[in-house]
Parts: sequence; C-alpha cells; structure tokens
Amino acid sequence: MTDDDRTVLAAEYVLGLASPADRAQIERDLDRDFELRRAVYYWQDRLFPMTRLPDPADPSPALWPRIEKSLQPAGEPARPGWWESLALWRTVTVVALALALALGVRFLAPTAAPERYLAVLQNDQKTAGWIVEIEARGRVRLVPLAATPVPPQRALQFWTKAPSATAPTSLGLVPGDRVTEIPAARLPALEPDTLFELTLEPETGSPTGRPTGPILFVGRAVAI
Amino acid sequence: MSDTRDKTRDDFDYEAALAACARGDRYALRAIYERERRWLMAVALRITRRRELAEEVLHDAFVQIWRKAATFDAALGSARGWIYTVVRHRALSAVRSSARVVAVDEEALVALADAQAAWRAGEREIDAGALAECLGRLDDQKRTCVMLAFVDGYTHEELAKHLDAPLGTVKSWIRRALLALRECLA
Repeated sequence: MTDDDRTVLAAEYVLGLASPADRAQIERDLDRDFELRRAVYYWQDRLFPMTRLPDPADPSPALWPRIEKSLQPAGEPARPGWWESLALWRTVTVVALALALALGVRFLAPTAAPERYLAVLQNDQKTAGWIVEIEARGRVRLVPLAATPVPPQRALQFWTKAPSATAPTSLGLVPGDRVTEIPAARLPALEPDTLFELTLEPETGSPTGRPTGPILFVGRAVAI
Repeated sequence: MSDTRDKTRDDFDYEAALAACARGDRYALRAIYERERRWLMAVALRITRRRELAEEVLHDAFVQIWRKAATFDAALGSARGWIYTVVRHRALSAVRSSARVVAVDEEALVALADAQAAWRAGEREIDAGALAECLGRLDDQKRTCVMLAFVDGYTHEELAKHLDAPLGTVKSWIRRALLALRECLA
C-alpha cells in the first residue's frame, strides 16, 4: 500500500465513508498495522474541529444512569485472583486463629488484620508521583516523590474509595509539593485495594463532593 | 458560555481520564460524559436526526469506550479524537440504511474558524483555524463532500446523489480532497 493509499483509507475510515466490509477489515488491521493506526489517529485529530459544527444538545438526564448500569452486567466487578479475595483471607485468618488457639499459641499478631498499607499513586504514563503510607491506628501520610504543579485557581484534592464503598470520600485539599498527614480515623474504610487518588479541582475543592477534575494520580493500597 | 467553563473544559485531561477508565474507574468515564455529552449528543443527533436513536448511540458508544479504553494509544493522538470516532462510527452504523437530506451550511466554515478559541487544549492543541483554512482552499464540491461525510454522515452514494455527480467522480474528488488536506495541514 502506498503512503497516499493509506492516508486516503484512514481518512475515509474516520469520515465514515468506508464500506461496512472495509471498516471491519480496517478495524482488524489497526491492531497490527502501526502506520495505519497512526494515520487514523492523525485524521481523527485533524478533522476533530468539525465535531463542533452541530449545535450542542442535551441528552436526557436518564441517559447516564442507563449507561452506568450497562458497564458491569452483575453488580460489583469480578475479582480476578483468589489472593484478592477478602473473604478468603478472613477465612484464612479465622482458621489460623483457631489453629493458634488450639496449639496454645498466644502471639497472634501475624494473623491479625494488616496494620500498615502502602499505595503508590501513578499518573496516566504509569509514572509514580506520590506514595500513601497508612497506619491503621495512626496516620495517613501522603508523600510527593516530585512536586506536582498546581495551576492558579485550582487545587489538588485527595480522595479515597474502599472497594466496598459506593463513592469516593474527600480527604481534603493538599499542597502539591509537601507531605500531608491525616488521621487514619478519617478514612471511612481501610481494606486491601482501597483506592487513593489526586484530582485537579477548583480552588475551593470539588463543588459536588465527588471528583470532577482530571485524575492526576491514582493507586491502590496493598498491605505491608 | 462563560470563560470559566471554557477553561474548565480545556484543563480536563482526557488521556488521563481514558487511562483511568482502562483501570476500571467509573468516575473517569462519568467525567468524560459530563464534559462532552452536549457535543457528543450534537454529533450523534446530527447524523441520526432522531433523539432517541442519538441517545441509543451515546449509550452504546460509552459502553464501548469503557470496554476499549485500554486500546487507546496515547502516543499517537488525543483521547478526545478517539472518543469522537467511537461515537461517530456508532451513529453511522445506526443510520446507514435511512436517507437524509441536508445542505451544508454556508456559514459552517466561518463557525469553524470562530469556534477555535473554544477548544484550545493544552499541549494537544487542535487547530480549527488550520482545518477551516485548508477546507476553504478546496473547491466547493470537494469541501462539501468532506463536510457532509464528517458532519452529516453521508455515504459515497448519498454524496453522488446530492451533488448530482457520477459515483466514480465523487470518489475521486474525495481522494484528491483528502490528499490536498493532508498537504495543507502538514
């Protein structure tokens, strides 16, 4: 295929002029044909301004709930690995505890719920930018690995969401270049896989109580 | 629309949001939806011409964006461009059988240039002025083909009928228009 042919093919695909058969073929080829993929991305960005020609229109308020319902067919996302199953670990802990009692072992600390967690927060380039250290009965420390620049009239907001929670909880606005410490008691829940994230919000924080701005860094807690 | 709202939209990091979708963060998908829904609805409505069908398109497209977020290649282009391709293709699939009669608005090119300020987007600036200028340099038929195909979802056959020109001629106009656009946009 010549460069011109590829350019036209990719542009016609983006425009929507490719026949259904061609379109299906292009979509199969996109995975393995880097040049074609590059050409498609080129056109979808170059032609993008035309998406602003039709007058904006509001979809019905019922649309988002319907979309959200379709995201996961059966409630909570499936947990892929047995090692991630909290129920299993509870069982293991109970069995270990019973065994320890039966054997007259008095030192039970190693089988208790984890006391410390660590989360590495990464940006979308998978670069680590922040560390969150959590002591279950102490403090949450949010430590920057490098300063995160915050534009004027904006603020960094720190959020947490346990896997069992339905919505993230704000842990407040934080400076982009210093350690922030928060009492662990402020966390609504602390479990393995608890999500921590930093979003860019208006200067006075999210007006809705939920993240509204871009997620700058995100990561999940692991017990240590 | 106020400056503040424009600013908020411009500051939004679509690439980060799509990456978060790939990690299973519904709030990121919601954030994309909240920021783009009126424009995406506009695009889907213009192609489908029916509200309920346009909403069906948006529904299916967002489920697809959610499932395929991991396939987005941030090294090659913008997340917003990728999202609109998903939505436009959904809309086109939904209407490909029905006939539509639409005329290209003469003021569309002017609107395109004027709209430039509305979507300056950080390092991934999309230059509407350049596209408007390059479209403006094409002859009328070629420009009409490109714009009717993109904005209204016309097929080759519909373009041929609309312009009262043979199908082969329309196809060759489009090929030449696209190569000219690439050269002009370079």
